[in-house]
Amino acid sequence: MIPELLLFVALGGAAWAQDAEAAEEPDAEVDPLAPYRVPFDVLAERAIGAAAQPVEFNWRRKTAMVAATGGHPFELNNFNSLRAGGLGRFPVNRAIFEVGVSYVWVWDSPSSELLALTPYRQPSRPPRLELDLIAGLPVAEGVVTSWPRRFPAVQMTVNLYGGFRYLVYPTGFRDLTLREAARAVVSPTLTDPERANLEDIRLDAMQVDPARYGVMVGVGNDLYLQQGLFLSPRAMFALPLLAPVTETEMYFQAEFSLVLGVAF
Amino acid sequence: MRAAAALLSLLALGSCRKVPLFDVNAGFSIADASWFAEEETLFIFYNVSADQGIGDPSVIELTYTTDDERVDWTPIDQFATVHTHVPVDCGETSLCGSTSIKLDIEPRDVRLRLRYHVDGELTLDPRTVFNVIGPGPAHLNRSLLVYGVFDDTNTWVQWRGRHHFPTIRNQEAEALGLRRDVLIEDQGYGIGQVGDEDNPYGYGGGCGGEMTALGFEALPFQERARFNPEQLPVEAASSPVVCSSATVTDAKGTFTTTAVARKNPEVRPAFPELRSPIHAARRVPFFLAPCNREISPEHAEMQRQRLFLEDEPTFCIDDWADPAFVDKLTEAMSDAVEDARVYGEDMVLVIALHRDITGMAEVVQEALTRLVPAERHRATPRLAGAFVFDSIERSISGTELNSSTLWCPATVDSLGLSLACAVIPDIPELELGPLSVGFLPILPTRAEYLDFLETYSARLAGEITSSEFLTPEFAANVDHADLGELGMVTFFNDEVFSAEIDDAFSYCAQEDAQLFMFRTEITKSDLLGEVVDALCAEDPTNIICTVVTQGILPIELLPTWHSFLREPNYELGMYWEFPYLLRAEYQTYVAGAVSAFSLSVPFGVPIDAEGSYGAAKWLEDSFRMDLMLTQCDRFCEHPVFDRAEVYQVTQSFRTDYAATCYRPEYPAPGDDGFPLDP
Repeated sequence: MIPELLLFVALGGAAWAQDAEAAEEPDAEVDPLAPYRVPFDVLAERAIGAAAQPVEFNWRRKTAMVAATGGHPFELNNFNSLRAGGLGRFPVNRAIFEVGVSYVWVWDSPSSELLALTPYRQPSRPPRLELDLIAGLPVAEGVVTSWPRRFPAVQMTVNLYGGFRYLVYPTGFRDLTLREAARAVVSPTLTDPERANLEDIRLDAMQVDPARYGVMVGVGNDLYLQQGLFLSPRAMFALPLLAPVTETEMYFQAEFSLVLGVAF
Repeated sequence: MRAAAALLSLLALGSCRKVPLFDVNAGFSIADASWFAEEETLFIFYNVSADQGIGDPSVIELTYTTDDERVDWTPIDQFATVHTHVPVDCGETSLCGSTSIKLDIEPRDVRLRLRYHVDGELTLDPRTVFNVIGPGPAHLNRSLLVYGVFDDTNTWVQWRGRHHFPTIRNQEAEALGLRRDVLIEDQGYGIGQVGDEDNPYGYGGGCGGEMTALGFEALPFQERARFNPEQLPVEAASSPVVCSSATVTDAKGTFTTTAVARKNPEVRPAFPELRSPIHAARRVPFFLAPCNREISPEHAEMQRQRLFLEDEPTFCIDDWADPAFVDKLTEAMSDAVEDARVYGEDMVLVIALHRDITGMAEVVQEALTRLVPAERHRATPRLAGAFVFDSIERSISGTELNSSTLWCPATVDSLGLSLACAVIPDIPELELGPLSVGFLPILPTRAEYLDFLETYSARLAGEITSSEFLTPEFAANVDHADLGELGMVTFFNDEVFSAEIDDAFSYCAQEDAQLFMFRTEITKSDLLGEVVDALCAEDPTNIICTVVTQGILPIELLPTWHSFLREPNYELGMYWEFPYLLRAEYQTYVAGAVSAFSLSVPFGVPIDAEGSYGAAKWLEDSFRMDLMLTQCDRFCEHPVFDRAEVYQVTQSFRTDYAATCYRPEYPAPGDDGFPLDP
């Protein structure tokens, strides 16, 4: 919506300027409709991106998309981690909503192995599942050519992302009663029984971060082929908006990921 | 929008930091070592905790020096253990355990430490507590005592091991994983005296006499407690002790000595229940009023209704001022009582006094004083007491009549049970414009009643629908100790319980319990009376003096009394302060009236109620004493179990429970394992 407004303002401003110039010519025949006449090339300019969108692939008309995702979290600590999973995407009006689940592998780095020999520990998160609920807002899109030239033109959409990430430690729920599990699911921090269970899977130098969920924002672009295949590189960042309640020590976290999928 | 963007920017900048490192704050809560010369064993106990981060890679290391060698820092799990040490879980943030190492020479410089990681160089070195226990008797100088206890039937023996370390408690050693092998053999019963202040468990102290072999199978166990699979025979019922040879393992091999199990004190309620039948007393009615003039017909009618005297002829009191009137009234009441006595029931004088002169009440009170108190000591059928429904509030506090007569309505300064029918000084009445709401007590004064009738109606004053006077039946052999205005102690039917010389008693105070008294040959003797008279000469009205002068004592004193004087019989009596309970059911009203101009329309909401006046204890005809007074007749010096099932080896029924509730809980066959034994 905002890009279109900007476009209209820019084009509308140009048309008004032309009208004013025409009115100042003294010899011109007086035409009562003159103020309302607009040259064809101006009208064509106005229609670009509004009346008709030059598209290679109209993702808004698709019902759903499924994709595989892989990423590299940067948690700013000494542990290594990678994530991979699946994503469902659902265009709704002018936005796109995503529901995803990923598994995150965590392993030691040489630094963390050395850290384990000391009486110091560093907050991190053991291997886990991550559930994502993300909304994407297209801010720019168009048909772009690709390189090398033998590849066809693609539809590119630049999206801003905002979403909610919920962490699930399956080991943490081991031997919990139904009541304890229910309490744990809604708690913003890991409960004591969960922490006790996670002792078995945490790395030696790791202090298990207690946060259960957080807020993510990011930016990325979607490249759609005419056949429906799409590729979406993106960068996501954790915002510590919920840190006061989740008691996390990992305020900042970035994640670069690549999404590859198909639209139906 | 700009503000939000700025806030987000600040937040992002502030959070752009790398994840910090945190100290795990590890610390030892236990780092103890004890070397037992008798066992040639070094015991190690440790418990180290941290915020997070010590686990399997962390190790506890030990070093020590002897005259023969110096053992450098070595993970303790690399030492061979003398005893069994099971892995223990002390929580996700703790590392704890124990070990036992064979050392035939006294070690020196024994130290423990935590290596944070088995491959690391950093360690945490605590202050290690090290004790040396040299040679000596088994009950003091060994790390495990063996003793036995009985179940509640005194026929099943549970053998127990008890860890004995200088700085580690029994259950703590168990919690840190130490398990000991015990073997019980050669069990026998006998009459030996075992255990003393120095060796309360009697471990290694011998069997104290001849024992009769039980022929039980050998009993091995590694828990802290195990029941014999066989029950003691009947022949062992009178034997106080079961003795055995107990074998424990140590670094030298095995060690065998005697272990004993002492029977629990045999205890029963001294007098489980005191019973006295309760009956409804026969009414002996009187309606006293002037015959030559009329005071208030409405009020008189109400008085008759309250006491069910509608058909009762009026006893005229016009000549109340005549000196002979008291005799006349006393004689009339006495005749009525004697006429009613033929029915064989206890009686209550029920008197409605319709009067407007104070002197009339004094005359009636004088007549009752001549008749009622004297009847209190008689057996059924007797005149239990009197109930007077007067026209004006009055108090009989401080008079001889107060302990046998209810005088209603009473003044608010009345003492004793008459206070129950005291009038409320100012009956609150709610008035909202033309609407007024009021309430009348069921036993009102005439002034209250007539004032009520001015606004409301006689129907809204309510009515008593039924009433009864409950009083205890006194047997022909009843005996009383009269405490005057305080009340009476009654020995209903020669309730006596016996005690042997070496019996012991325990008194347990009970909530809402009745007050019981006892008397013995000594308390009734003249000698005690003289002593009491001498001691109470200065203040004979003191309550204690009043009670003791009557030759009775509170039941609380019985355990101590018997421990000193060891009398064979105790008579049991019950204190009561009033001879009957008037229980009345009545209907009353929350009365209302709406007034407009000169017209008033009354209305009311009926309420069914029940009132009790007198001594509430006469609602029951039996009084439990089983929890109040318990009597031990055998093994009273033996250790006891408490209510938490803990074996209190230094306490005995005889010395520790005279004034303390004795509520033991015993282990039962099948309760093997790890009993509470701090």
